[in-house]
Amino acid sequence: MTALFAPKSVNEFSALLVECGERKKHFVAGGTDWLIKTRGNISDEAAVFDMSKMPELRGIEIIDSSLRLGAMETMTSIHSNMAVMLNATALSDAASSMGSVQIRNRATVGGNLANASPAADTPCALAALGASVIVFSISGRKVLSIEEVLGSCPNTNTLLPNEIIMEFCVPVRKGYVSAFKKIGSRSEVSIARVNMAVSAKYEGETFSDARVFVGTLGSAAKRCLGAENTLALDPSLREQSFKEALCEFAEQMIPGRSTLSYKKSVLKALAEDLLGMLEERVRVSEKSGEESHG
Amino acid sequence: MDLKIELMINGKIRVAEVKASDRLIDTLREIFGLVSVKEGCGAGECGACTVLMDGEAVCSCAVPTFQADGHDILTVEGLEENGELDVIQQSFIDCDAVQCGFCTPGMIMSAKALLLKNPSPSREEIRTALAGNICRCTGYTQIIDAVETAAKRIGRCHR
Amino acid sequence: MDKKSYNYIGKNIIRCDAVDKVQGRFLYLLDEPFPNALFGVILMSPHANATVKSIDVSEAIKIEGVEIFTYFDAPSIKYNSGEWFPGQGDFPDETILTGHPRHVGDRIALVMAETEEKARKARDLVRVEYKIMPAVVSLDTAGEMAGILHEDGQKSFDGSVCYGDIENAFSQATYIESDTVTTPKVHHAAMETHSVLAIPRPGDVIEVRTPCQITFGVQHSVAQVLKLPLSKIRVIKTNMGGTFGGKQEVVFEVLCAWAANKLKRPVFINTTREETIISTRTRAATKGRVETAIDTQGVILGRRFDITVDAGAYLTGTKKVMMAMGKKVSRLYRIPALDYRGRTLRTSTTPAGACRGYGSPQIHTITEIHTDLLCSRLGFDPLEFRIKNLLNEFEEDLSGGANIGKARVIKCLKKGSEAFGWEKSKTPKVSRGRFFTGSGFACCTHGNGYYKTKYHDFSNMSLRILEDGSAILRASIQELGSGATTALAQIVAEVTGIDVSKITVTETDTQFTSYDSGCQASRVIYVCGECARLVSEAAVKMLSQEASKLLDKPVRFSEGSLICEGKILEIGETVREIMEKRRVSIEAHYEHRPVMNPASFGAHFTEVTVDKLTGLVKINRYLAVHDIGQAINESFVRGQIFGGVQMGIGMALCEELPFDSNGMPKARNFDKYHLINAPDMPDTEIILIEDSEPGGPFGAKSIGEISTVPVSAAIVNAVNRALGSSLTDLPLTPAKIVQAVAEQKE
Repeated sequence: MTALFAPKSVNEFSALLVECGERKKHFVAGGTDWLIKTRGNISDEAAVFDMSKMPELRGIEIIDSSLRLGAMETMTSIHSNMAVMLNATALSDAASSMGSVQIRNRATVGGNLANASPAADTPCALAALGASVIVFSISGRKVLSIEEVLGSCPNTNTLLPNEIIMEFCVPVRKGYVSAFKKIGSRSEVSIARVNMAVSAKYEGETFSDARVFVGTLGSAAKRCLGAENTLALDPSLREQSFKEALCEFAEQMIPGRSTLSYKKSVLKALAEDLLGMLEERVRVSEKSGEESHG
Repeated sequence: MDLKIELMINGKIRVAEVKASDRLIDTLREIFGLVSVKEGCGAGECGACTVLMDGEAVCSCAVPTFQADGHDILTVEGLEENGELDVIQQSFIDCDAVQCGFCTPGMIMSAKALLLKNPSPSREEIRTALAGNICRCTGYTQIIDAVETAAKRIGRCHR
Repeated sequence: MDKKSYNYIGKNIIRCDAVDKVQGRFLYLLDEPFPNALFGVILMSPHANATVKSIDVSEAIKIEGVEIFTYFDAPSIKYNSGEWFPGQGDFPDETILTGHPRHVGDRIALVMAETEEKARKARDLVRVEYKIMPAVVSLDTAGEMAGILHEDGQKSFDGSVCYGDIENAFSQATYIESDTVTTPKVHHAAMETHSVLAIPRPGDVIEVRTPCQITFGVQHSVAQVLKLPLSKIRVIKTNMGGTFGGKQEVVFEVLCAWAANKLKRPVFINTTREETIISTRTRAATKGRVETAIDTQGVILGRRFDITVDAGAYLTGTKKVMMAMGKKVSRLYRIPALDYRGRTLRTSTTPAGACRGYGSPQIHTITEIHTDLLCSRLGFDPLEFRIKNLLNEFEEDLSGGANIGKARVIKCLKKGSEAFGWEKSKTPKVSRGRFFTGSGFACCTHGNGYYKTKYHDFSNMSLRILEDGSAILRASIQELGSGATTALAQIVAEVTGIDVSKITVTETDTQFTSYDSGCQASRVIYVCGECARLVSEAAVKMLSQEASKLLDKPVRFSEGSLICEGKILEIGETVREIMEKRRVSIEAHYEHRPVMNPASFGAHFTEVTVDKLTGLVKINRYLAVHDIGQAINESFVRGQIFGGVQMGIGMALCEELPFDSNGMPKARNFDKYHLINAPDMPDTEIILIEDSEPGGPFGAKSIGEISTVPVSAAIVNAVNRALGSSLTDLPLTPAKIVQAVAEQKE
């Protein structure tokens, strides 16, 4: 019979992991992907861990200029949280555009990253925000970047069998704006065909210290350095250069793919839309007199 | 071994023994006889199986039953009070928002979840709340009318 | 002419099952498990074209209580799933189980157990070895490859609809324009998947319960294969969670009945969404080349069609769909000469068959996109061109079909264009060099039954007025969710004066309800509704006559009341007295054979904005104008229109069932198969033209199928006008639009 555990703390969780030894382990976060994927096919030797009862994996708070998000926080709890909206706006964008209300109420930010689907939304936003991932295992905790967790193979993460994502830490930085957008095959409830996130420091109309991450080009979050440089250009030049850099990037990432010209076209749209969102957010914070923190 | 869980269903505390692979939709339909919860796709895409979990809409075909332990589930069967229809149910009837009826329980629960959070939603907000509920019969229009009507009626009650 | 004010007709009566549905008390087949029934799942082929080399059930039958039938056990009697009456003569090529699966999802074995879980587990233990053969996917090669798909080797099923002097028409023409349009394979996507329950009953009766559209058709199909007398096959139509034609042809019913009959035990077959998508039926994909000959004045002289229709793995009703397409051509525009040639080919993909509109969406999509494109190329005003060529009332159908009746299509077009603001909207606009806004419209027609076609169309009903003044209409109706039973109750109420709340309208149970040709061909309101009206007239006439005899005084029935010498008699009391004293029950029977089959018409207008960079299309507004004679229940009519529009937008922009070169279906659930959801459904205005159609109950005619017919063309025409493009390959997915824009640039 499949063993089923619902640990109430990470310590209890660690102890159970040790007990289970080499058994195949399933870590169930929001459960949506897991249940559909494993439909009736869980081996009797496996051990299933319900991650939803550990308080250490929950919570959204600001601690020492860092926005901490528990891995089990759902898309709904994230996008309706003020602290996220103000300090990690790209993440709020991503969380609110994922799936439907029903999916958002269950899908977790940790699960979204662990699944490592190239079309995942929140990893892209988190990467642009420079988030760190706190990974927990019996041997202790380690800090990884989003890209390090994603690795180079789509749909697999680099975590070891007994490691879980515990929380995310997003640096809260004064004078920064961020945005995320995805284009799917319909306006709502669609997996991204292309998505992108940008975070940048702003001074008046100019951007600097930009981070640009693009998803769906073979991975959930690939950094586009060429595009980052263009954001520092003069406003009259940057949109065109931004678009060109992104198109070049796509050609490098998915050469010869039949979807290349389509994705390049969509990247141009995302470039326009994201620049518009960033500019609007700068305007809003300058109007309010309060500096944006991300 | 099976896990013993305890959960609140339509206002009553219930217990069940569940396996890791059990889906909430099957537990609700087969163990608790709540057949208003319909399976339209089994993949969390159509919303016909929508129930409320702690007041939030979820696709019960995509929730492992063991994760419902300690939580509060509401289905259409739990909406009526003393045989009187809930405002949303009555609005669906009055606005002719029901044709074949298969998507109806899920739609009503999504509407319920929306109105619990947002008592006077715009038509756009209603569309977004129902974006995960597919209907092939009605083209949604009369359903959106029904949710709007329910919101107005609830608003009038509270004044 | 003043419109009569009715008590029930045209009113938004609440549908009789609405309360049950919102309470979740309306039970579908899966909701009521039948005692002692075996739960059956189909072992489906994972290959598109293969033969079974071996099938080993030894591990599976180790599970307690498991029963398995493979194709070895099953009769090899061939049938056609679209055939709905004995002698129809549709080409039979399908068996209930097969050792030569011809599409992914084809039925190899039926695995049954006491629970669904056990059945699925047992199914997973069955070992099948296949010899894989080449898949037949492309329509271009399907003809030559026919032999490897079907032993009958029939390359294609051809048909034509020709009249007039086509050569002359084309030689006289000033302009000859042609286009090729393709329409996709579409999933009906009823929210309730397919299911069927078969119960062996005493007296060698086999009872089949299933949500179906043509109950007597199911009876016929079961009889064909089980070789039982029709009278021993009882089919009961169960509560239906939508169908849209997907439950019009038999799919699992015959297999289920046969298994239950063999085991002498009830068998219940249910399907998942994936199974319903890949192994039931689809809308037939078509590729149509249309050529129009036009004179100097812009009048159509003739049309030529070369149409290829994809039947999928079995012929099903698809040849009939192809022929129906041809027969619709002459019922919208005046086509003095027609040369329509169609061929139906079989491919190793999910079988096609009946789907809402039965070829009308396909043919009118082809002609309306073509008509718009030819106007654009020739510099004709699209509105004027149509008005010049659309049929007027009571014109004959030159192909030999029934007279089109009180046609109001030109009125639909004129009213619609004015209400929509067509003159202002027709010029495309651009914003930010990226967002292109344009408008489009399309006209359509559809029928009202089978009169003057090859098939019989009649309905036999009885109306009994009971001892308390309530009434029961015993009719073979199949309620799909569109409100037919309530609409018929409204008709009975209008005639008898008995309130709708006291009227029961039955659905089909072949044991108890009399013959009806079924829910197809858009005949339910026009034919069944008229039968309900006539049988109600007969019932009140019978009541007055019996009351006269009872009281020995003249009694008449007028405006819903029974009147004797100026006094109103209470109906219930009168019936009781008649039964007691005259020993007669008040039950009238009527069999209605229509002698007309008018056309219903519509014109839809829409404005869209296309994002050139993403290829996404936003529908800004939508107007549907329909010539429906008379709405029996206006809210129901509106509901059908909204639903039809949702379906048509899907076919235009996102719905398709693609297969790869190995015949593998690429869309198996709603994650990949996208329907229009609430955010993407436009607010839709509706204008109804109710000029009263002769022959229909209170002048009513059909809406349920026609509502989806012009939608796709209207959307495509709007996109083409917005972009200045000539897109004709549906659906216009974002990728296709982006590519078209890129090609325009070059």
